[in-house]
Amino acid sequence: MKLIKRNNSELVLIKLCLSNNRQAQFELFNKYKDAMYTLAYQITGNYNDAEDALQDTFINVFMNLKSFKGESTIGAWIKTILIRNSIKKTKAVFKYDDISEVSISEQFNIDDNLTGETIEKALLELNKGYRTVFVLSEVEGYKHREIAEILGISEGTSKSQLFHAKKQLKKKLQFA
Amino acid sequence: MSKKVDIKNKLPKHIAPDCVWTKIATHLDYLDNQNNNSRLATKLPTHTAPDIFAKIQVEKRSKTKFISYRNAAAAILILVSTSIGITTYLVKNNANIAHTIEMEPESTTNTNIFNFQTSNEFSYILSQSCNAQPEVCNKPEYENLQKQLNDIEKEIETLKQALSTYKDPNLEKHLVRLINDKVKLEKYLLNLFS
Repeated sequence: MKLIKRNNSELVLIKLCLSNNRQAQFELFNKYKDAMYTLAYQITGNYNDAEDALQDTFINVFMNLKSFKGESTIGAWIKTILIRNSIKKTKAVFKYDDISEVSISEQFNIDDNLTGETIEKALLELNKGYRTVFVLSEVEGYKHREIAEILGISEGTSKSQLFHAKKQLKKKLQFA
Repeated sequence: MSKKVDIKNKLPKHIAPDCVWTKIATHLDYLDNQNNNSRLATKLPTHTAPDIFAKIQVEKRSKTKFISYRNAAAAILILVSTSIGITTYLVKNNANIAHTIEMEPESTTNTNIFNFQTSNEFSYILSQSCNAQPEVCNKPEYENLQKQLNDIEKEIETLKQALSTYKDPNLEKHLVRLINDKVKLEKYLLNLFS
């Protein structure tokens, strides 16, 4: 089992959360809330669903904290729960397309002159399935195996979704 | 990897609204209250449910008994009313049968009257009377009565034989009538000597 290094303050916080200490729970929420909310917004594409996904996620976290085995960081564990809750909100459909490995490994470069708001606007205009896989792969840095496991799809589907996402995003950003 | 980091850093950061924590805290408080209530439920004493099955069985049995008693009473009532009805019907419609039964003792009585001993006694008395008054016995009236008496006796004998074979109530009636006639004839004969 791979053990994750974590500082003592995080361990104390988790223990206090396990004993149902509301202040500790608030501190844990406060630590991750904005990063999780941002990710939820990138997946769902609207603030209401992002709010709901964040709320459901932290309720799930505090109710199931006993099942956290410490195989990853607490932040990574919370993020996995948040991604699943966000996908539930979007009801995204992931379609598989047979594409070549060359196409998948194609480089995707973003013009440095583009602002974050412009990139986000183009991202939110993407198909829900493409957007989710793109965010998980290109923004959050998940591998296709991990994406396939989280979304409950095959690695091939994850790859093809990413290919189409890059293709569409490139087109959108060219005219931005 | 640096490219990915760049995208992440370029994308705008969003701040979660404060109301999210309020909603989470409210939900967690609600769950805590539910847990406390469930803990209270485990602390309260438990009560054993009464043996409803046994009660049902007893009720069922008493009900069955009541039904059997009711059925028996109904059967008795039907039998009694039926027998009363039959008796009433027989009384009303079988008056003749009752009369026939009354005839039997009469025939028995007459049969008892008519026996050989009595007949022999009558013959003895009649022969003694003829010896004492021979003129009466020579009268045509005496001879006629004597002839009728012989005929009746013959007929009585024939009827007795027939009755032993057929036992017909009409034959019995006829026999009784003949015996009565015979007694009357004997009376007339004896009166001739007075």
